[in-house]
Amino acid sequence: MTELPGEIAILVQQVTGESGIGPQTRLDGDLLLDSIELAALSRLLQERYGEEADLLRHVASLDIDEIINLSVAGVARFVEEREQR
Amino acid sequence: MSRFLFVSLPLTGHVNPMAAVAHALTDRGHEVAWAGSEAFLRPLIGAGHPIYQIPLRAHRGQRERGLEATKSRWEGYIVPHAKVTQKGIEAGVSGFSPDVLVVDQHAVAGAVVAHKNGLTWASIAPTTMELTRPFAALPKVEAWIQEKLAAIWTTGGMPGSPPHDLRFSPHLLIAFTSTTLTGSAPLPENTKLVGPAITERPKDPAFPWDWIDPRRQLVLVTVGTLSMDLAESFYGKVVEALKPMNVQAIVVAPDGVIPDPPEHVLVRSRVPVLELMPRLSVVVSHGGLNTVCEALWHGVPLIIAPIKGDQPINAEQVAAAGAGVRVSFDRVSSGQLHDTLLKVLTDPAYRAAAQRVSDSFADAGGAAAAAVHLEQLASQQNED
Repeated sequence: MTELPGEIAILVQQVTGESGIGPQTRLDGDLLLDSIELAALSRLLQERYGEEADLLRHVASLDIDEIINLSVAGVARFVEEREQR
Repeated sequence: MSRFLFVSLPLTGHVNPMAAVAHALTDRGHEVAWAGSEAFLRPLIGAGHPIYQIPLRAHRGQRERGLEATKSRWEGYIVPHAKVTQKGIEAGVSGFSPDVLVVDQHAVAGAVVAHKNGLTWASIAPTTMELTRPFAALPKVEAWIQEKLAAIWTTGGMPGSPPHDLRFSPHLLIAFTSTTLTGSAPLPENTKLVGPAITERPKDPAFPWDWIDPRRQLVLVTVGTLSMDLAESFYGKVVEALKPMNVQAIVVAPDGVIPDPPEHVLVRSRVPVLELMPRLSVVVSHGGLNTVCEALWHGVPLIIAPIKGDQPINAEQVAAAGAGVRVSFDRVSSGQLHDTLLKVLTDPAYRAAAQRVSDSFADAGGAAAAAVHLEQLASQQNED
């Protein structure tokens, strides 16, 4: 599963058009992803990893600091945990 | 005749619509006083109304964006502001004996003082930040805000926890927008949407009106005074997008930020926005509520690149109403901006939708309607 953060970085790049995205890049804290971009990313994740990879629902369960600090690696962990269930 | 004490924040965009309402109340024979800083408020509200002094805690231009901005708005501003201003507001209540407190949604100490003294009060929403509860989909963020409100309540010397969300008066909530813009967003039952309360501003005799060519479409680009430091790359893209177009454009930007603009682009650090509005074909903006409402008031469509605060909400609302297009402030390309400008300038649907919003604003009644709602609230209170 080590390549998962890289796959997700590519999806984030697709949604934002930003370059230089790595595992530590934060969606809100660094990229200032807006609600439309977050929804688009959530859709891409679900298309690729299944309905369970509902990022919007995951973000809705987080507190303010967790949302600010949610990184590409954090999204990868979320997707991985979904897949293992 | 009733007495109204206005409790504001030292933010021009918040005070301007409240001042329009305050003057409308004076015109109807009521008495108005303010709790605020003389140095900040006086130039905005004019000579007539007494001010009960509260310390000026200036709002430094927020550098944070995203949810960091939400955090710093509450922890760095709203909570400490409530703490340092409560005493001054209480002095205003005992000195002026108001029938009604009129409180900015972010001046939470006003709500606490109203409860403490058993006074009727109205909430004012000068921005759309709190109006439609943008964090409803993030329950833990909403709960975190409620914690901050509870802390203000306790620090203010009140027992237990707040009886309701202190951003929303149980008596009356006035907001300067209309349902054509807020759409289906749920609002509290006691909400009155009065449309923009636009105030006259000083004329600008130095503006080069001769430069404007009446045969060409005119574009205004203005991304607000708080965000100039963020705007440099955005201006570059806008100018690039405008270069091949047969229009004229006025860009509000500080001196030197746009070197060598093309001849059909005029760069000025200040422009008479309200006077220009009737001549404009489109406004490119960051989506501050004042600019959005002033453009729509004149039936001018918008391209909005929101930066922070309530701007993404305003951008969404304008796009949903069909009166403009939302683009990404950070990520839009000059090519996309060019195409978007062409689309909004050539498709009459945008202007028609902006005109529909304009009509809804006119129906909503503005500052005069807000004054009538406040007057009714005061007279109900006197009957009780």
